[in-house]
Amino acid sequence: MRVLYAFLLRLHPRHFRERFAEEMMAIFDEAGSFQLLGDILVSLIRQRAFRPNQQSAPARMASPSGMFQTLDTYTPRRSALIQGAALSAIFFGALVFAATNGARPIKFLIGSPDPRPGLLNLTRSSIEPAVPDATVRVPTPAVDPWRGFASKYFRIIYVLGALDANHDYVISAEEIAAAPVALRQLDLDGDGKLSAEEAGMCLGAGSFPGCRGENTVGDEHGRMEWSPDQMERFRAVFMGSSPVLAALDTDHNSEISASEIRNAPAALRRLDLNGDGKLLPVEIAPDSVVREILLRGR
Amino acid sequence: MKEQATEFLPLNPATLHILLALAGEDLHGYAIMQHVAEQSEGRYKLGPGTLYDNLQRLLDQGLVKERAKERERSADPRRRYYRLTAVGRGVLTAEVARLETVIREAKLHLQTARPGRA
Repeated sequence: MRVLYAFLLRLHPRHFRERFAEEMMAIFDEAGSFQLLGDILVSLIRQRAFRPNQQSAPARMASPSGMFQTLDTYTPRRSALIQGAALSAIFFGALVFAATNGARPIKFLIGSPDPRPGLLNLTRSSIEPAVPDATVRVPTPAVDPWRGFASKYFRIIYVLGALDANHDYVISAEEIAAAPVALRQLDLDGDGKLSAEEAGMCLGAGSFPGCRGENTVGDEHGRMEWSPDQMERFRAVFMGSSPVLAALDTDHNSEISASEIRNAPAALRRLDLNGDGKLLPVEIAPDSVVREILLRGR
Repeated sequence: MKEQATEFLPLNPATLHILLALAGEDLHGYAIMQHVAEQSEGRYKLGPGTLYDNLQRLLDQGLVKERAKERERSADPRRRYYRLTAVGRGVLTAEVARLETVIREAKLHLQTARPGRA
């Protein structure tokens, strides 16, 4: 019954509710009876039907402190004002703290499907505010030609992919040391040595169990009508196409034998031209690629 | 003052009872309701809806004012105490005087009418 009474009280006009609701609930709590429900219902009809515009024009009233203005027709309680002031101070403080210390400003590039800071990295010093037709320099992002080459090179030459355990396109000192283990994983037929096919040579997609068709030596249709002599020639060409394969195949018989696998770390270290202990793409790329990238960079 | 008081007359029964209840002492809403019931010997019971509708008007007219300090001393902090203002007292006095006149006139008319009817 109390809930119903409170509900009906809540339906009264705001100005009436704010002024008398507390007291009316207090009376109900003291003398709650079914008759009071009838009374509140009549009161609701009276307030809604005959007093709808009473105090509808809100008067501006100053708070006791004189610092706040309210649109309501009553003066807020002092405790409510203090509470509001404290909350405002906390919110403002948090906002200032976030703006100056903690939060990183979010940058949006209007019109971009992928808004990220740094997408359009303007050079602020190039903007001249006094000149309306100032030219704004947009720096072109630095492209690493070696990375683009290496991503394909390491995928085509299976040996390189196996050696580069962390896929950073750099054969580190640790990866050089672990080369025998990595190379043995490519030995699909388990004969203890790596053929040119196991090292990555393909004569058409599906021509070899491990062949992914990305390094096709044969024609584009994957024809395999090659004589044994031609096959030997292809293997020799393939093993000589990469400095890494050439370095590993020390006897140049177009396969990496068990002993060559064991001695792989030493063979690889011989490719370390700058002596930093690791092999960069520039140190293991074919000469023609190195030349081309260097010329393009001029 | 008297002219100002007569502007509010005649008072409706609820307003009259509320002003009469507050004439003796400052009361909160529930006490006014009880007082009205006692005044009328239970014949007139004021509900909270009617009471506060009238109190709202009396407060706006300045016939009654709220004693805010009384809220803190009250057993129920939700209670507010109301007090008759000087204007309210003047209006009540004027209404009582008006009613006395009405009653006197009524008695007079009834006395003079009685023999004729008989």
